[in-house]
Amino acid sequence: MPNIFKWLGTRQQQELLGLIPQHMDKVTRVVNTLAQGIAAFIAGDWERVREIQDQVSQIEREADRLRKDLLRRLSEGLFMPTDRSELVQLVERMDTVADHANAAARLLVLFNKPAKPALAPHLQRISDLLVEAVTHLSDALEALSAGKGREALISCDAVEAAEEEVDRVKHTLLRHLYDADLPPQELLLAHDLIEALENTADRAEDSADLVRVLAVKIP
Amino acid sequence: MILTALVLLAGIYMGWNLGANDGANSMGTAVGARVRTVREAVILVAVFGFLGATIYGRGVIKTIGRGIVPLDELSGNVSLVVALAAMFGASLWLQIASYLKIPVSTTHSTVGAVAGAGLAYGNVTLQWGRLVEVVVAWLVTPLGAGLLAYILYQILRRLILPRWPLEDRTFGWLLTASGIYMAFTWGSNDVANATGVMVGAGVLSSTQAALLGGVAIAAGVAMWGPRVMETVGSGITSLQPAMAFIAELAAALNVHIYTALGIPVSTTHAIVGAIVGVGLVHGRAAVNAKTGRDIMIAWGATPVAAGIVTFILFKLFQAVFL
Repeated sequence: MPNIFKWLGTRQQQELLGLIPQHMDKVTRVVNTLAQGIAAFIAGDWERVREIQDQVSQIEREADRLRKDLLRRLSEGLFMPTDRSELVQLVERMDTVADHANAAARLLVLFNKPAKPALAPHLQRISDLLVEAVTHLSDALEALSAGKGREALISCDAVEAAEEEVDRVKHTLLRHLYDADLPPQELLLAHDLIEALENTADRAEDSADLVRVLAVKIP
Repeated sequence: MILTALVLLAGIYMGWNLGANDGANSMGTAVGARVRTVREAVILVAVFGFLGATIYGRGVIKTIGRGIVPLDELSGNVSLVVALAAMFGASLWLQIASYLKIPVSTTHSTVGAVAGAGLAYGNVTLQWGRLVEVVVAWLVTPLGAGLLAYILYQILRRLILPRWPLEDRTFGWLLTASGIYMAFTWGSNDVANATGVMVGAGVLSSTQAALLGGVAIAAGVAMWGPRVMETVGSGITSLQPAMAFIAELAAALNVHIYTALGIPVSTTHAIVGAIVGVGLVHGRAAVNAKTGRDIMIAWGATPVAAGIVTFILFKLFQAVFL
């Protein structure tokens, strides 16, 4: 017979796992909206880029509020989830995905020229990969909260694959950046933008690593 | 002989399970507050659980053994088959509940199983008056423990601590003492779940049953208890030592009263009710409404479910052994 304290702690955990996808939904929206911003940047539509940046900031703030609420719930109550520290880390890591995507969006509005033709397709590719990564991460979390550990692990592998592809595309982008002969200020901005995009993918992969741990631990 | 051996084995298994899973409820908070190591906690629970069972467990043993279904009025093999069906029925329901991850009470399961076996046999009168007393006690247990915990904790916070502030070290000893008291009362009330029907069926005397049950419980605590103790003590509850001390004291007092009356109650109900009580002092909900509702449904349905399972098992055993 399951010990009552363990049952209550597990119950609390299940309830919180049900809430975490709401936060993930915000994070996914941040990245999807950023992707629209990158498309607008490639097209040179600055008005749209500014609109998108506002939207990204707004959604990122909503994600932050949800994160704080989740952390508060994790610390309240007399019966705690059995994997409290992992759940805290998961919420924090998912939030950094939104943070870096927001940082990328803020950099986009600083440009006043569209991306060079050599860089544009690779930027678009990274944008598509980021959307892919957070979609798979969202699927992993959904599977985790439904108790489908194996499916969660498969989705985490897909996040990792997307992140590795981002690394390769980033390498190609940097090579093109080196050959692009941009003015220093534009070169710095472009480099920072690429870094912010790569960090977004890295944090998505870090989050997937934690989901893997929970998928193995949580029955 | 075979029937007797099976009844004895079933009782030992039940006692072992009790010790393995429920022993941690007594000292888990002391382990979590780091005032006792897992090893110390296991030894204390095993020893005092055994002492509670052997010194104080006979009253509840008699209720389970004869107070609900008068097994001593049945002929030899019939009483053994009723006892066997009750033991297996209770254990089977507990296994099903464990598989479904439902928290259920061993006491509720046992009482429901005994009643179910008696109804399945048919040619015996259930002691409905006593059964009603037991069910009323089940309803009152968490409420009583919660109320007592609330009052005691308020007294501690408002009257005692402001005048005589206690050091953490003192609370450590108090938590150990309340854990010991809880282990004692738990052993005294729960041993009947493992060995009560053996007494009714004439397999053992109440003293022998208390001893055997006490040993089985202590063995369960010693062999499996450390794992559960670590889980319970690893921060699953955010009880401060003062809260844990009062919760355990209130729960143990509650169970002690019912044990003195010979009424089998759920020590789990008592401790959860007590934790809710101390939590309310700080305005913190120990469980939310949905979880509380699910616990109540599980606890309420258990005696009926165990009874139904046992009813079916008795019919099977009747065909085989009688």
